[in-house]
Amino acid sequence: MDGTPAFTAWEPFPADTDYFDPSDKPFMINFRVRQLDDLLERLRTAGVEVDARLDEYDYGRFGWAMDPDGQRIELWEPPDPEGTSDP
Amino acid sequence: MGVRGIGGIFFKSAAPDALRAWYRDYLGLASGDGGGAWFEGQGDGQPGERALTVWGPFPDTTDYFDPSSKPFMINFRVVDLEPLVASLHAAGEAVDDEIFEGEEGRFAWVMDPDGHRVELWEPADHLPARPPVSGPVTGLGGVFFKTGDPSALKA
Repeated sequence: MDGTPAFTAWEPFPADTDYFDPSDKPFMINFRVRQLDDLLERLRTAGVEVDARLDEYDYGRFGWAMDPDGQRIELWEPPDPEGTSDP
Repeated sequence: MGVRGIGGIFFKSAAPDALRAWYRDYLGLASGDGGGAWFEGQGDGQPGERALTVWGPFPDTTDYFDPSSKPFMINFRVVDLEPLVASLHAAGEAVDDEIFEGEEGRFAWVMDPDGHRVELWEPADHLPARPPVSGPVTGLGGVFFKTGDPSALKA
């Protein structure tokens, strides 16, 4: 065990949400990450579809990308690098 | 309640091997052969409680999520699986009869009101420790999904 507190959210969304767009999947996965800016830059350089949007909140910073399966993935850098924050 | 946290997210993929490779290359997810990527952290319950979460693509031909028609399945880590299953039975919920005893622990399955098959997992004590991740992704932050009536499911 590396001692990293592991907070994982479970959240149903209304069926008509546009929060997962442009994915047509009925689910979306959020990954806790470190060094979000570097990661997004690497993904862009590799030709991955990355949102221009970057959201910043008290509970962390968020970016989004599309995977090869057409899943939208949410990349979340918590304010404390070890990810204890509860959004 | 016996649920301690999210134990995993499993989903169907037309090309799971290619998908695992993509997540390995870009996000550093270390999947075992044909399996998923494990994350280990510290639970927020008992001191020393392990919080294991698994990310796992399945072939889209899998019957593992049946009878659900959803392309994904959520696994919840639980303690005291038996009383939880008994209470679901007693409430008339569609819970599988057998508790499955596997290498990774004990499992039971129930259908939720939205037609999701839900996996309930009491991890085995002897599961090997997972090494700290070296890539950019340190764990599963959340699992979000569309549903007809979010408030009903939360209840």
